[in-house]
Formats: sequence, structure tokens, C-alpha cells
Amino acid sequence: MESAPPVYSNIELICQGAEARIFRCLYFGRRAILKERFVKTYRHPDLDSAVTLQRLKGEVRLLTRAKQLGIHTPSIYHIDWSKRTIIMEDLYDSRTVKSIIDTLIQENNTMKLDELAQQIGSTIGRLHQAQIVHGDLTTSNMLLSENNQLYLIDFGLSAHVPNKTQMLEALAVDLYVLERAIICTHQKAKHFFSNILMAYKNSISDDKQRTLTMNKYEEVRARGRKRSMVG
Amino acid sequence: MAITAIGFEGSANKIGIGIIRDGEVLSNPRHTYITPPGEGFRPNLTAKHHQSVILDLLEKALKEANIKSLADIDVFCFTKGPGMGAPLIVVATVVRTLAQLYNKPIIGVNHCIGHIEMGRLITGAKNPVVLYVSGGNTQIIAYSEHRYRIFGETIDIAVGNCLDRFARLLKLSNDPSPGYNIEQLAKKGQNYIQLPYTVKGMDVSFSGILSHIKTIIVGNKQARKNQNEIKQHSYTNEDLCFSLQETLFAMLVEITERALAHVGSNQVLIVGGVGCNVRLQEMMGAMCKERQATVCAIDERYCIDNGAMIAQAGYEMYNADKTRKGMTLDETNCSQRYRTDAVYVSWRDD
Ligand SMILES: Nc1ncnc2c1ncn2[C@@H]1O[C@H](COP(=O)(O)OP(=O)(O)O)[C@@H](O)[C@H]1O
Ligand SMILES: [Mg+2]
Repeated sequence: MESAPPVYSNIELICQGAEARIFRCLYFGRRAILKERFVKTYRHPDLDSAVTLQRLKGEVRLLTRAKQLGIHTPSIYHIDWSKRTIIMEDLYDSRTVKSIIDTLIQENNTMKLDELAQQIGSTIGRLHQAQIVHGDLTTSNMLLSENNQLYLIDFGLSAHVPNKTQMLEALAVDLYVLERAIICTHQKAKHFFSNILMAYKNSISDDKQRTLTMNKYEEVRARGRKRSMVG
Repeated sequence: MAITAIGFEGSANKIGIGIIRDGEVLSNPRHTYITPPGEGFRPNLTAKHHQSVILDLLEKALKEANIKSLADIDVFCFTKGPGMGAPLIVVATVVRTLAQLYNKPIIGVNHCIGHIEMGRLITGAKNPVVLYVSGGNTQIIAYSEHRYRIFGETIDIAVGNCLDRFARLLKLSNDPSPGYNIEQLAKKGQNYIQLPYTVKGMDVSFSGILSHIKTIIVGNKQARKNQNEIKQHSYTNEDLCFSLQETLFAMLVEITERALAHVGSNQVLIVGGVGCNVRLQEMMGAMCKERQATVCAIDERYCIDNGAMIAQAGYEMYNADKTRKGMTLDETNCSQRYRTDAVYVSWRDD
């Protein structure tokens, strides 16, 4: 009897991200990305499996939820819990927003930069309106496709936060994380974050909600600046 | 011409004076203010301590460096901040006085920058991602465009602060440091207890761990009081130290890895007092190995607050300014909150 063809083949490592190894492969003959959260030998095995399981679950659940909201995310094809892997759609014609910003700055293309900031702000706004925090908003976790679609990826640290007070805090921290990632990585992209924030604000239709969120965000920022640093 | 710099550090419970000549450490004595078990160090008592030992320490530093007179020093450097107000001011006052007596330039140094520049000097790391972990700081830092940028940090208490408070809960000795004693006990820990693990992007949070441990300790006491209770929920101090370290350090290593991936670097430098913990270095090494990166760590002479690090950063600042005037007296005030990214890094042009 002939053995069944492997479900996925032609596996080729393309990069090592913030916590996983990313491979390109063929899944039932289709181009796919295999994301493996390999065993972290530095972590105690109990802690490592607990954290990894939580990240896998979070990623699958919230990637799917975000997609339901109409946010562009890669489709999930398959999950292998024992191998700690997710197989998903390969956005092969996209690049990270991080590298796109670098290119646009070199080209001095402010129009395109403004447009990108606008896209990022309204996408995050939509996510937040559904009480979802991404948890790791950096420009490495946003992809822009050839036809200018903004994709959010890497939902391992994401969470749905229905509790009202917890939610405001969580949204504000999410924004603050993004602000610092942008300031640290893209100093030359002036006004980029303020443009994101503007689009973000505009995406919140409820006046009261908008004020509450922005006040909380200012509070979180102030806390960051005031933290005493003795020793 | 060689430049000889002297650095004075006293932002927390250690006072150190170091002398450096063109990257060579000539002397670096230090004295630690040690409090009884269960007690932290208070600003005014710490300031008194520094005041009482600073002149003897200076004599020692000069003698070890084989320098006859302060007239042979080219630039006087001190910690401008961040740190505790009273100890900072005591040290700054002495330095201002001495520099004026000998008519020498003064440089006020950011304490965190001191750690980074000393780490780069000792390890030769050119452009690493820096994990800065001490009693008051937990930061992931990378250089770009003339600033040390803070990519991630603690959103509540610092890792060293968490260790110190934990040591106080268990009434561990503060000699030589709470962290050192936790490290020794942790080696004998057997059971891993799950503790809250909170990573948000490149940020971490530790306060939940501390309150969780408090409930465990209370539970332990109850179990011991009540003889009938099954011993199941009782953990040893060794287990607690072990679990605390494993959890805290795993979070630190994880955010360091996130920063490496994001900035595309393959070198890690660990600085600050918690950085001399061998278990932390080991875990960082294991992470780096998986991504063909290297880790540079330094031993307690330079990891823990010291004077040489202030001399080294001050030397860089002094040397980059071709006027060689140092700071005006007005600029030599202290600043309890002085962020790493507030300093313009004039001495690097990569
Ligand atoms: N579906 C995908 N299509 C194309 N590239 C991807 C896809 N998913 C991830 N990548 C690439 O791999 C990198 C790391 O993936 P990510 O999911 O962010 O993993 P990590 O959690 O390790 O950071 C991304 O920055 C992106 O360049
Ligand atoms: Mg990622």
C-alpha cells in the first residue's frame, strides 16, 4: 500500500521571530506558513508548556475573532497542539510595515506614510472597539500586501477584555506599547504615531468612549514617565 | 594625551569611587550600606552612611590607582540621577566642592548610561540590546540615532525591587545582598510553583507575583499552625526562591528575545546588580544559542553599582565635547527621575 502523502511538505525556515520559528511550506499543495513555538530550554518545562499553550490558544482564538470583525489576518489552516504549531495562509506578497516605513522614509514619501498611519489607526480602533487588545503592537507584527491591504499578525499575546474598567486600562496599555515601539524604531517618521492616534480617535464613534479611552491613555503615559528609578 | 577620570556613584545603598584612564580601570573601591533582615534602606540613613565613608573611600581609590593628588585628575564625574535624592545630593556636593578646589571640569552622569558604557567597555560589545536589571530599574534598551531607546520596561516594580521585597517577606539576610541570598537558596529548590507570568509586548509586570507569594506564605503559616492540615500546600523557602527566579528571569529573557527580533540584533549585554545572577546569565545564554546570538555578561565588580562606570560614561561625554569645559555648576544639579532616553549620546556616531 502506498503511504499517504504528507499533509505538509517542502518546509523551509524563513525567519526566527520574537518567539517562534517561521517556515514556508506546502499544505495540501498550497503555499502556507508554519509557525512553530519551539521549546524554550531556558524556561522551566512546566512554565514553558503553560505559556506556549496559552499563546497558541490566544493566537488561534483572537486571530479568528479579528477576522470576523473584518480585519485582515491570515486564515488558519491547521493547528497541531503536540508540535506547538499553527499552519496558516502565506501572505507571500506582503512585507512588514517596519521595512515599508524604512523604504518610504528613504523615498521621502510622506503621502504614503500618512496613508499607512491612517490605516493602522483605524484598524487598531476597530479591534479595540470589539474589546480586543493585540498585546504586541509593533511594526514587525503588521504586514502590508502588494495591493495595500494592512494585515495584523502574531496574536499570541492578545486577549478579549470584556470587563469595562480592565478594558480601558488594557486598551491604553496597548496604545502605549505601540507608541513606544514606533518612537524607538522609527525616529525619522515624524508625526507617524500622532497620525495613527488621530485615525484611532476618529474610528471611535461614541464620544464618551473616546474621551474615556484617551484620558486613560494619557494616564498610562504619565505613569510611565513618572516611574521612579532608584538604584 | 591620556585622560584620567574619577567617578563617584551613590544613587542607592552603595557608594563607589572609581578611577579610569583611557579605558583602563585603575581603582574601583565600593562600600555597601547593609540593613538588618526584613528592612529596606531609607534615604536619609543611606545619605548619612555615604557621608561617613566617602572621604576614606576617596583616599583608598587614589592610593590603589597610585595617584598622588587630585590635581592629577582631568575630569570629575558623579551620578546626577536617577536615584534617591538625599544620597545623590551628598555625593554631588562633595564632588562639586573638590572639582572647584582643584579647578577641574565636572560631568553629571546618568546612572543607567554609566552601566551601559561600562558594559560596552568591559565586554567589547559594539551595539548590543541591553537588559538593564537592578533594584530600581528593569529596561530593555537599544541604541539608535544618538539615544539609548527604551524598548521595554516594567510597568510596575523593578525586578530587583521584587527580589528585595520577597527577601524581606522571608526575612532573608541583606548581606551581601538579598538577591545573592535568594540565588543561593534557589539552587536547593525542588518544586516549581506556578506564579503569574505577565508579558505585554516588550513590557513586563511583577507586582502580581509578589501578592501571589504573600498568599502562599500566609497559607504556609496556617498549615504549620494547624497540625491536622495535610502538608501538601506547604512549600520550603528554597522552593519559593527557585520558583521566583525561574519565573522572573523567564519573563526577562522573553522580552529580551522580543527586542532582539524586533531590532534585528544578535548581541545581548546584561548590566545592573541583578545581572550578576548566574542563573539569569545561563537562561539568557540558552535563549541566545537558539538564535545564533551571543550574550555578554559582567561580574559583580562592574555589574553592581560602582564608581568606575560613572567615570567611564563621564569620560565619553567629556571627550566628545571638544571645548573640554564640562558642565556649568547650574547643570550639576541632581535629578531623582532621569530617564535613560533623556540623554543625547554625543559620543557615538553609528
Ligand atoms: N502569514 C504570514 N505570511 C507571511 N509572513 C509571515 C506570516 N506570518 C509571519 N510572517 C513573517 O514572520 C515574522 C514573525 O512572525 P510572527 O507571527 O510575528 O512570529 P513571532 O511571534 O515569533 O514574532 C513576521 O514578522 C513576518 O515577517
Ligand atoms: Mg512577531
